[in-house]
Amino acid sequence: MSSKFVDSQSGRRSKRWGMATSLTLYYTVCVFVLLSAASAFLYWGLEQSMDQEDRDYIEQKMQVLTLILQKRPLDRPALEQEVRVEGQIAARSRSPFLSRVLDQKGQTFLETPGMGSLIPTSVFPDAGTAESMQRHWRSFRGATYLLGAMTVSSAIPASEPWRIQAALNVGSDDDILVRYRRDIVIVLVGGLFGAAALGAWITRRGLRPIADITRATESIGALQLMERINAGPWPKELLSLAVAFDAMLDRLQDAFERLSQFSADLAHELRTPINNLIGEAEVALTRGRSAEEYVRVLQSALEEQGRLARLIDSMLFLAQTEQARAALSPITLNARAELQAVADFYQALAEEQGVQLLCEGQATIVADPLLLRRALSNLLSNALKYTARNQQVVLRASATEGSEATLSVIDSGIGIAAEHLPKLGDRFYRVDPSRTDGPGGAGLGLAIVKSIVALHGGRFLIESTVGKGTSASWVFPARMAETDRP
Amino acid sequence: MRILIVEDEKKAAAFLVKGLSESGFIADVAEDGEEGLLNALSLEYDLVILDAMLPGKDGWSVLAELRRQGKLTPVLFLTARGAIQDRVKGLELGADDYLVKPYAFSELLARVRALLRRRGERQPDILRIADLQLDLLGHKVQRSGTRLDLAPKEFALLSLLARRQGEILSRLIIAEQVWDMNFDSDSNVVDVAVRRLRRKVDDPFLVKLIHTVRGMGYVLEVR
Repeated sequence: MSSKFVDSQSGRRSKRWGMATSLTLYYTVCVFVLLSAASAFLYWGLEQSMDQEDRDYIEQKMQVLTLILQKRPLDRPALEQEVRVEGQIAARSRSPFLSRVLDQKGQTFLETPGMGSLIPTSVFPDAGTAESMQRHWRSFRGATYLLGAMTVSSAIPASEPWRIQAALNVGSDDDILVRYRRDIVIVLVGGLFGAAALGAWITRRGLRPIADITRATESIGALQLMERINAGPWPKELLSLAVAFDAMLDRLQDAFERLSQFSADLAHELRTPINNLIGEAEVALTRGRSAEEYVRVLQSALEEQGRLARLIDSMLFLAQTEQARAALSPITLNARAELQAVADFYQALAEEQGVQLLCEGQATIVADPLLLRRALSNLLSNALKYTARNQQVVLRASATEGSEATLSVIDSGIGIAAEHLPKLGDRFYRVDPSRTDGPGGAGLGLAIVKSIVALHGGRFLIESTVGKGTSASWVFPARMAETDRP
Repeated sequence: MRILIVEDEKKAAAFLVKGLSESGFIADVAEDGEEGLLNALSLEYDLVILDAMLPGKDGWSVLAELRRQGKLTPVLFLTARGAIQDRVKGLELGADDYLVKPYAFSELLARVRALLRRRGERQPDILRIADLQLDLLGHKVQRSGTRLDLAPKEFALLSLLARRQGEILSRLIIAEQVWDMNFDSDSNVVDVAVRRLRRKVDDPFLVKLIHTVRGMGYVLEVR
């Protein structure tokens, strides 16, 4: 028992730990995915814009050369300035720029010094008239170039066009991108750990009310059943849990108090006959008695023991009907015949009391005959107890359209005050507490009726008017007439 | 008549032996299921009183084994649990009757006698006890030659007492046999019914036949 308790305890703990872990994990994964996507997008954007910049640069350079070739075809110094000098300045910069002008025969007319050995003429793309073509090319020395080519129609009519070839070393771009990639990895790894730590912290913080509510719950034991956890400042998600939990505590407390009350009542019920037994035996033994006196003591003891036996029997019966639902063996019965049988049983008693018993109505019911008779007997016994001479008790069977059958025991007795009605049927509850014996016995009669009715899935109703009488009814659920309870 | 009592509770076994011996039976006790089964199989008993809760082999297994081996000795089953399925289980396994603890010894005795009587022994149609004469077939009662006018249930009550004259019948047995009410009622219904019967059968006559046995029930006999 206790090991089982510990197991469930630790099981619950590990589940809660699991919740925090999985929340942290989800959070971390989300952050990581978002970071990766953002980095990839930025990287792609950087690459694109750098490439575009390179292309624009080459385009612009080639436009300058084109302008010189077309507008001032004979201005060789300008061309040379552009190709050689600019090239030499650019060669010392981070992104060396090389250019070459081919004449009408395809021979090199002018080029940036050193370009011939670096980039052969043939690797440039073939370009049509007045449009530029660009491609990336990796030289034999491992440097990456962006190559551009352009055909420029000659200013002199009917002569072959010039061709311009330009190359930009984009190796430094690659360096930037490599550095950028490294930074991204650092950000991602750092982000991963940061997100995990942050996620764990947020989760723990978010779940703290659960731990608090657990602690509040743990503090409630059998002796603090009146405590409630709803008072705490719970977040609204947990508020419904706290309310539901309090409702459960209400029910538990109620059941617990009734159980305590019941134990006290039971002890009291047992004390009376046992007190009688002990007292009589002790008094009888104080001195020698005649045989007749011993017989009387034993007979009296037998009566008390019979009372105890019946009490135990009733308690057992109640315990069983409240727990073992399988004990029911229902059959189809003619309700009128059952009422008549019970009335027959009580006929002599009723006649002695000058009370008339009447059976009326018809119904077909499905019930356990033994339990049905026991319940009806208890009801009739009660009714007779409170009905005066020359009055009558009616046992009525009725069936409504919905095949709901009702068996009622209706007396015209003294009636029961309204305040007692809800408690009738509680074990040991008596309308008149001073009334400890009599035909009703220990005050279990109605409790037994109630449990029998509940066992059959029916409803038990008591209506009463003080001075006019009481009607106790067993309502069988619809369809109980055709089928057995599952 | 030999009766085997299979009961592990020593005090219970002792009072059963005492009570049954004083009622003219020979009673043996077996204290556990194995011993009980062995005795019931090897010796000839007229009846076995079998407790459901036994150490070792429980009452149900003993009963089942007994019937499986073809032994048809009547069995009176004693169960401490009043659960209906327990009773049904006992009866299904071949018990002839059952009693729920706590039970009255008078009731046990009545059931023992009923079980033993069940075998053969035809009831006469007309019973005569002192000057009381019951015609069980014609449902007529005479006492000292005077016809008594009894209601049907009164006749059933009187014939029960008469058929089992000298036997103390508990209120439960009477309620069961006369009204088919198989539960121990707290109410004094049976007492009232017997009182009314007495008024007709005993009051007008000098010799009283129906006697109250305090704490136990009623008996019809000539005293």
